[in-house]
Amino acid sequence: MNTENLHPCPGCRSPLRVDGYHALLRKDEKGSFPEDGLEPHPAECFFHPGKKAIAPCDSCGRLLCRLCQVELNGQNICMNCLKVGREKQKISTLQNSQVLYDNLALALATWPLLIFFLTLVTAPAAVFFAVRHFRSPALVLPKKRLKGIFACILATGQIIGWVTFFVTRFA
Amino acid sequence: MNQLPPSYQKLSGKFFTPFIKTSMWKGPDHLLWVEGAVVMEHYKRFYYDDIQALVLIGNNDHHLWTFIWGSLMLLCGIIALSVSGPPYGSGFFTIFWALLLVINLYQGPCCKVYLKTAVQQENLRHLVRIRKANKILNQIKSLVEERQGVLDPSFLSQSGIVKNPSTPGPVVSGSASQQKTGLTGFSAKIQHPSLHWVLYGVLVLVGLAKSVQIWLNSPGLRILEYLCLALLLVLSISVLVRQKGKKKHRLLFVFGWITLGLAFLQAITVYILFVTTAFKNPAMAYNSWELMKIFFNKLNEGDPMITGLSFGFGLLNLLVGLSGMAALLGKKKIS
Repeated sequence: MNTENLHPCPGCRSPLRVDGYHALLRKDEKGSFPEDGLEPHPAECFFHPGKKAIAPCDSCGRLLCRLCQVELNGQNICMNCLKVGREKQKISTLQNSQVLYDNLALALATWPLLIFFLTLVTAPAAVFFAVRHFRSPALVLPKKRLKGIFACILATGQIIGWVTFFVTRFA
Repeated sequence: MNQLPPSYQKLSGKFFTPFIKTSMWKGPDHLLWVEGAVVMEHYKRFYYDDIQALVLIGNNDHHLWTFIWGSLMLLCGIIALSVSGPPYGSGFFTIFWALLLVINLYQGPCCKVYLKTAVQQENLRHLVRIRKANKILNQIKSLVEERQGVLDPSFLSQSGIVKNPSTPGPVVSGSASQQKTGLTGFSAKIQHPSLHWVLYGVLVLVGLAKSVQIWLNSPGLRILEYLCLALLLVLSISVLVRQKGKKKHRLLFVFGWITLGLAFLQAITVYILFVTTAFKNPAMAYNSWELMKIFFNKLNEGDPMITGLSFGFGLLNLLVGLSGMAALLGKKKIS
């Protein structure tokens, strides 16, 4: 263990490497009692009047007691701000999933080409998603705009093709 | 309130299927595991403070890939040599499979890597080759040790997590640890290795019978071949049932499935040919003996499609049978 080399497993003799860390030995720590901050104090918690405030929320500035304070990425925030931040996707470290609109636009611009008449509907949709979300910020990973641009060009080409078809057919 | 996303750096290694793509990114205080499915991305964060262990387990998957690419290359190569005229298509595919084979051999042995925290154990599917996985593990190790400090293996023995962590495990058999766990040899690991030998022996026999029939048309040989085929189905199912639930010898397990698939495919082919013969001779539909005679005569006519199928299946049977035997010998040699 912790040798950075492969050794045969004593059970099945597959090559094995095990890196262990201090977290493996860490015992569960008892949390501090939230009641500690509940005694009367001049600086009161916004949510629990009469209870001692220990820190302001770094987002909205409300005073918080130990019960209400949540520490996230080195900042103190209240439960309201945490909820709003998660719902409005403003706190990147709370995001567990994300819709990739540029991929969606590209998929809408390419896959329907197999059944070409579908592009009559999907090409405008691809342009919409590519343009609408072109400037939307990346929530977690850096965003590559190339896919969106490519989808937009491809879908625009399809729209031009359809317009040309209708004009030559019915005009 | 708006928080900028932390800057991530991609760790090398990737795993992708047509619809799922996974990758791992290095953040300032955590690792970000990304699983992408066409238009959605899902994230998991492993904070350096919380990582308990990283485990790399080598496996034999690279042998399977060598077998697959090698077989395809061989098949396409034989087709390229046997066709009259310029073999552009088959030649291209021979080179293509050869290239994949070379890449597979260059990348080296395969592995599985697990990351363990107090509440979860994640299989890092993007790390499939030992060489690359070792590099990535070294990178992660330095990041985690920056946060948690270096763990002296003797702490683990003191805490009772491992009995003797500093001593590497034995390389050859007959060790104390093996005797303790009862794993003292090949027979201890596979309960009935003789069944495997019989399976691959029958497979080679079927392969040989099919190959011989290209030059020698004999109904007796055909009957022997079909009997062996039926036996093959029973044997491969028995082998798979016996190996069920045992995660060791994955290669043999995979060969068991390949054998079953191959036997099933051949049985279906024979059945389709027989039914086709029955449809073409409705008068004989209720005279099984006459129908069988017509069926065997049809097989011996030298139809190019039947000859091709026979040759292809024969070659595949020989390849799988011999590879299975090699795998068995390999296991025996290790133990």
